[in-house]
This record gives sequence, structure tokens and C-alpha cells, in this order.
Amino acid sequence: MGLSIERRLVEFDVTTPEAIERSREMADRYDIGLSEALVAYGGVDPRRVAAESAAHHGVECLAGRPDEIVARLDESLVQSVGRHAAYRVGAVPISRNGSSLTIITARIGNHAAERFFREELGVERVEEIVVSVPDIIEVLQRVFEQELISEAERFHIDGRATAGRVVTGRQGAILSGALAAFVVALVLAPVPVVRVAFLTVLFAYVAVFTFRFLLGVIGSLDDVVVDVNQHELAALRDEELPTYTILLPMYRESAAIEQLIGAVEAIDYPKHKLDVLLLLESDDDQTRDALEHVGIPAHWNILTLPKGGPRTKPRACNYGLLFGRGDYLVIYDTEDLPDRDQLKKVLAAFGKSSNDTICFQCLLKFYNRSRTLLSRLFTLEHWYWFDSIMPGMASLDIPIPMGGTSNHFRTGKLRALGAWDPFNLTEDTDLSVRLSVENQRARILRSMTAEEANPRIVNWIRQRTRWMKGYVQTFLVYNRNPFTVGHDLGLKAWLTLLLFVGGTPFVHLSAPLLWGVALAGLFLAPATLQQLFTPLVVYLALGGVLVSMFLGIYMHMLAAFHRDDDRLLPVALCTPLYRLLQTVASYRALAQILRRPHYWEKTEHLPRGSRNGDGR
Amino acid sequence: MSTRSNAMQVETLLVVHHRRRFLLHAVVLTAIYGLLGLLAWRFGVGSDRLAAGVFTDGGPDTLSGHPPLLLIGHLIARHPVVLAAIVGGTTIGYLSYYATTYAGSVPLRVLLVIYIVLSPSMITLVLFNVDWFLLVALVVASYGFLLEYCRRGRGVDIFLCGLALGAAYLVVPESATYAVPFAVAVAATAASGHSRRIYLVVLLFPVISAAFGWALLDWHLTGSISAPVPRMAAGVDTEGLLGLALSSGPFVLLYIIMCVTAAFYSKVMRGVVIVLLVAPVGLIALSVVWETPIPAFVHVPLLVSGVVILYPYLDTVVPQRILGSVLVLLLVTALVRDSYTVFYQANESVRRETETVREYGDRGSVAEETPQSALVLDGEE
Repeated sequence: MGLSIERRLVEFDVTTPEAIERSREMADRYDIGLSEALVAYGGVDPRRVAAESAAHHGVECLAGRPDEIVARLDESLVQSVGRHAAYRVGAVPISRNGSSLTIITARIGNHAAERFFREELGVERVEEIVVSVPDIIEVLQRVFEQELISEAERFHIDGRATAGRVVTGRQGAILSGALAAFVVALVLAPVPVVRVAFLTVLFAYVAVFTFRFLLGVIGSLDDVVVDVNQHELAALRDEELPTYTILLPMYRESAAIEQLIGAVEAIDYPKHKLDVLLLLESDDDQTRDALEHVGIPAHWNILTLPKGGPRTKPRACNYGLLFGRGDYLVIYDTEDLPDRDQLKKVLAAFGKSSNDTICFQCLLKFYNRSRTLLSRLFTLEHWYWFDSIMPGMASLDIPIPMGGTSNHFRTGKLRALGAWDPFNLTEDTDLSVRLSVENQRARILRSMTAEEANPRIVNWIRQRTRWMKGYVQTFLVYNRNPFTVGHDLGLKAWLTLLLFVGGTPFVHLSAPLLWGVALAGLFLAPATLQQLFTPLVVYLALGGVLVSMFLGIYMHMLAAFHRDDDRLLPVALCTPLYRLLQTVASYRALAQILRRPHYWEKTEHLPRGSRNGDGR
Repeated sequence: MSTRSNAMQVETLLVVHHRRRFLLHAVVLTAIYGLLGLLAWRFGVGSDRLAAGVFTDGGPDTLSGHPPLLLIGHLIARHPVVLAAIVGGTTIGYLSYYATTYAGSVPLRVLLVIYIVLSPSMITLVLFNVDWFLLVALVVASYGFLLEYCRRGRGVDIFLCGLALGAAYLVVPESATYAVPFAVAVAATAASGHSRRIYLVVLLFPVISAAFGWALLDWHLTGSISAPVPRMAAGVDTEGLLGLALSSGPFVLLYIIMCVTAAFYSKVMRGVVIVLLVAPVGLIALSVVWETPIPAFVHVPLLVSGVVILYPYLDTVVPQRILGSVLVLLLVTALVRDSYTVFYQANESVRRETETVREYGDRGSVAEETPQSALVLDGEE
């Protein structure tokens, strides 16, 4: 043996004595190897640690040389062991010579791997070549590329409905038939048909708004948000915490990377138990360059998604899930700033919840809410969503449409549930419904994540178009066999699916019709509409839009109320303008769902502090 | 149930904690009231009183002049009995749910439930005066939320209080007056630093929106925004609906009971309680000016509704035995008196009372002044 690892690292200026001291301290405290501690707490590149460790022990090292590893690798041998097993034991067999096996491993003296391969492959001798964890991940990605792609894209599908095909043949036939019947009826008896159709739309419009409003009221009155107090937090011992996977899907997110790294590194959790996975698309050179420029923490890993398939966030998350080592898992968006104690709060909350709770959704706040009128309205809308609607749904025990970020899962149960539908653009809503079908629950936790309120109209419309498309997808997917789904979900949850998931795009799509009739009735001469609509119909239309407008404004006032933000209260009066934008996005979504149903329109994010963003 | 545990159990005044039980109450009572209403209609027992309701011929014949909430209700229900059964079943269902959940002793619970479900005065009110009944329910609800706000300092209760007031306006526009003492109370809490001025905006926004919306609907129908105004104006004279409400001794008593309760249990904001106590004094003063008897079948249920809502709080203020005895006495008296009124003096006195309500309820309607072509329901002359 040569110099100790510590001395080698200091002598070669890889790290400082202070960092080594701290790493040793942590290694002792958590009873982990020094190499692992050096990566997690000393910030030393895992490849460098592997190299110095190999030199110290006099073992061959291939760290940082994945091409060489793959060149020496016997693929059939790896395939015979399988990806899951190799990843689980942290070693990959690369060649076999009679009864002798050579493996790559990130841990010298990996006895678990040795035992496993002796039993699995019947070898007598196992030789180790030292590599780093990122090397193992990269090798597995290369060897199992097709299998990984297939699994990430089909993770969800086995036996379950997917949005891969938005409208089935049967649905197409029913929709076409209904449309044809409507047209025929319209020709035969235009006036009664128009009146009945209009009143049906009006009734549904008011019903959707009333439902949302009632959910908000119930959610405001019933205290269903889970709280974790300081005493419960203090009861958690760092040494006993489980591994926690953090998935960070990103695409062209160079602007917010520094903020993301700062936010995740600030989380109060033992770093060696954080399994942080950055999920990048293969053509995203912009983010890759930014990451290289900024430098990611040593214990994080980058997963590059193979080309092909739908380029969606759920596909990326599914891919990340294939490599996730944690017992628990969370997704954060690039611009997110979670509370420092969020992970621990989640664990404490899981600890006092029933087994059927497999997800905790944390609340959101917005660091740039006062930047533009749009960001203010966006903030109000989301506050109402998180503080009123979701608690209302939780209170009524109906599926909670989770947000796409800061949702924490029990990893095993998430896998068993089929994870995310890679084709669904509101994968979180789809997952919520599936969760309910499987009699599992999501709950809400009082812990905040600060993120960006969308402040720019074009960007907002792109984002909203995607959401509306996702709602339509989810609604159609779960209405392929409405009776079966209704039976599985129960009446309450099925009505939620109808009024909330289907109702949201519906109200925005029908708004121009209702507003048009109401305004025409108000400002045009009575004779203009008399052919089609009686005064009663116009009266009801006017009443309906006034009620929905009032409810929309008052809902947003309630949102400002909940967060004690008086400045945003008058902004609620602009809600009708916001609804107008939603209508634009809904029609855009309608057009896209016919032409590009799985197209994921990118939302651009800006970090806190850029262009007058608010403080946290 | 001990006083302390009862107080602990009551988390909030107007929230239904056991929805299935509440729904059971509501559905059963809707069926009972529907059946009673149809029997009365079929056999002519209550035809005179039904005729005194807001809409006399099974539904409104014109659109203008009617309070929008009632109008929409009638358009959906199509028959006054159906609307009365739904509104009455839901509201009384809530009260009976609440009484069976929180009222102390078993005899008291039974008596309360019998009274609020089947007493002649309550049935009379439910079936033949939907507008009054709704008004009572909404005003009690709004007060309940205000009280809750005083007790817990929770903003959402102001929001719901405002909502109930806004809905009340769309049933009986005179009820806008109730917003005044409430607004004063909230303004006082803001002035004392216990709350924020913006609460006042939230409280009044629904009433303002309701007034704006009704005016717009009326303008659409008649070209003017005058419908609620004559009714309000009529209420200002000594015999209007408002006068009737304000001059009701039991109503004012109820108000005072509520305020006293608030005074004891408003740990969050003592300031607002002072205002709430002062507010009824203004109402008493008005009642002196506008002294007119209010129909017995209106004020007694109103009082009992308030008592049911407030029972869990009164229970913690007054010793349970005294409270229970007083309530039992009150209920027995009310039952005897109402039965006597309904069964022995019904023909003349009730008809007179209901006609009075009807007369003042319709005063100021602009239906007669409006061209029928713009108002008739089927769109054809």
C-alpha cells in the first residue's frame, strides 16, 4: 500500500485537509466508508476518489473511462445477471475466465457483490476493478439502453390505460355518432336543439364553477393539511434516515441551475443518503454545458435519456425511477426552492400516516409573484389550488390532482402503481386518478416549496396549453370504459373526474359561447336573438356568467386571504382577464390535441432574483 | 356530555362534520316536506297560504322584479312545493343534524328535533314562505360565521359571512341592511388592529356584486335598474318587511344572545364583541320606531334556529341544567302556542299574516310596468 487516500488527495491538491477532516468526522458519525464520505461531504469527484483509493490499495482502476470498460465488457455476462441485480449490489461483471470473474465496483471489498456473483454465476474467485458510481450508471445505460428506453416508456402501460393513443376507435365512433346525431337534430329542429344544447352547456358551466367553489369552501374549513411539529422532527435521527431519491428532470434550464444546486444542497438531510439524479435529454447541450460550467456536487449523478419516444417529463421521471435507490422519492422542478426541512417533514408525516398513504404533496409559494399582473393572477390561482381545492378534495376523500413538483412518494409503491404515464401531459393528475383506483391516498403536507409564477403571456399560454391537453387526455383515457372506471373509482371520484378534469377545459372552451350570448342579449336589440333564444335563456346565460365571474373573483380573494397577502386581493378583480387567457390556451390545446397530442411545450423558468423577482 | 368536552368537541359553528348523517337528515326531511306540501296542495288545506307565497301559479309568470335566487330556484323546481321541500329539507336537515350532534340531554335533543322538524310554525314557514325561510337561514348562517370569526380570528369565516349576506340579498334585498352592523363590527376590529381593513372589502363584496348583478339583470329585462329599489324603499316605512324584521322582539333577543355568547367566547378579538353588543342597540332603537308585530310563525323558528346553532356555546356559558330547563320550557311553550295559532286561529290570522307578507313582499315590483314581450317566460306573447 502506498500513501493513505487522505494524504494523496491533499498532496495532489484534490481537496483540503479541512474537507478531509470533515469527511472523516461524517464517516465516523454515520458509519460509512471514507470514500463515500469524501464524495458526499468533502465534495471530491468520485472518479478521483476511486482512482486514489485504487492506488492506495493497489487495485486496477477504470474510473472515468467508461469507453474502456464497455470495450472490455462481456455483454452476455451482464445480460445474464440483469440490470436490477447489478445496480442493487453496486457492481457489474465485465469478464469471466473459467471460475474467475472480474467485476467493476465503486467500493473496494464489496462483499455483498462477491457473495451474489459466487451464487449467481457459480464462480470461485471475484476480482475487483475500481470505478465510480457514475461509471457504473453509464455502463448500465449503455449496455441496457434499449431495455431502459422500453421500460421507461412502457413502465405504466402493462394492463393499464395510457394516453399513448388519445382517442380509441370506440370513443371515436361514439363521438362521431353523437356529432352526426346532433347535426341531424339541428337540421330537423334547429331552435329546440340549439336551446337544449345551450342550456346544457350553461348548466355544466355553472356546475363546474360551483363545484370548484364548494371544494374551496370545504377545503378552507376542514383542516386536513398534515402538520409536522418541531418535536416530531427532532425525534428523527439522522443515522436512521432512509435513502431519499431526488429526481430533477430538466430541459434547456441553464438559467436556473445554480439556484437549483443551492436549494438541493441546502436541504437538511445526510448527503450520503441523498440519491440526486439529474435527468437530461440527449440533445440538451445547453444544460449540459451549464452544468459543466457551474459544476455539480460530487454526490449527484446525471442520467442522459436516450433518444426516441415522447419527450416528456413523465418519461424522464420514469427513467430516473429505474435508477432511483431511495426508499422515498421526490420530484423538483429546476427553479424550485424547497424548505430545508421538507424531506424530514415528509418522513415524519409518512411515519404517522396509514399504509395506504403513498404520496405527500407539499404546498407551493412563488418568489416572483409581484412581478407582473399575470404572475400575480397565477399566484392567486395556485394558492387557491393548493390551499383550498386540494384540501377540499382530501377532505371529501377524492383524488387530489397533485402538482408536478414537490410530491413525495414511497418509491416501492410508486413502482407497483406503474409510475407515470410517459404520454400524459398532466402525468400527476393521471397518477392521482390511478392512485384512487388502487385505493391508495395522497395527502397534503404543510411544507413550502418556492417556485416561479409564470410572468410572461406567451410562456404562460404554452404552459397552459400543455395542461389543458393533459386534462383532455386524462379525461378521455379514464372514460374509455366509464362504467368500469366509475365502479373502480366510486361515484365521488368519478364525478370529480368529470367536473374537474373534464370540466376545466370545458368551461374555458364554452366561455366564448356563453359570454357571447349573454353580452348579445345585454347590448343588442331583443329581436336579434329572439329567433334562437327566449328572454329566459338569455336571462339564465347572463345570470350564469355573472355567477361564474363572481365565484372566480371571490375564489381568488379567498386565496389571497389564506396567505394574508392584502396586496393581491384587488388583483382578484382581474380574474375575468385571466379566464380569457385560459380560453385562448384551451382552444390552442384543442387544436394541438388533434395534430400533436404528445407534444410537450416547454415552459421557460427564471431563477429568483432575475428581473426583479421577489425574495423567497 | 360535560360542558368542557362539549366545548372542545365543537370545532366550528356551521361546518358539517358527518356529511352522510347530514345528507340523511336532508333527504328524509325533503321527502317529508314534499309530501306534506303536495297533500296540502291536493286537498286545499293550505291553498290560501300557498297562494300567499312568492309565486302563485306554480311558478313565476314574468322574469323581472323577482329576487334572482328565488326565481332560479322556481325555474329549476318548477313548483313552489318542490322548491320549498328542497330548501326546507336542507336547512331544517342541517338544524336537526346539529341539534342531534351537539344538544346536551336526550329529552332536549328529542324536543328540539320534534320542534324544528314537525312543529306547525316551522312547517308553515317552510312550505308557505320560502323567501322568508331562506332569509332566516342565510342571516343566521352569516351571523354564525361572524361569530366564528370573532372566536377564532379565521379570515375564511368573514368570506363565508359575506357570501351568506350576498345570497340573502338575492332572496330579500332588504337584508342588505344586515350587512351594516356586520361591516361596522369588522371595521371596528380593523381599527383596533385585530384584523385588516381589507376584510371589510371581502365582507361587502358579495352584497355589492349581488346588487350589481341584479341591477344588470333588471336592466337587461326592463331597461332600468329599479326592481330592488322600490322594495327597499317600501321596507323603510313602518310596515315593510324590514320593519317587521327589526321590530321583532324575539329577533332582537336572539341577536343579543348571540352577542353575549360572542362576548364570552371571543378570546381572539374582544374589540369586535363590543361592536357586536352595540349593534343590536341600534336595531332595538329601530324597532321602537317601526313597531309592528311580526308573525309568530316567523320569529319563533328564527329564535329556535339561533338557539340550536348557538347551543354548544351557550352550553359553556350557562350551567347546563339551567340552559336545558329554559330551552325545554321555551320549546314546550312554542309548541303549544304555535299549535294553538295554527289549528285554532289559522283561518283568519294566518291568512292575514301571510297576506301582509305577500303584500309587502311584492310592493315595488316593476313587473306591471314592463312590456310583457320582454318578460314572458316562453318568449312568445
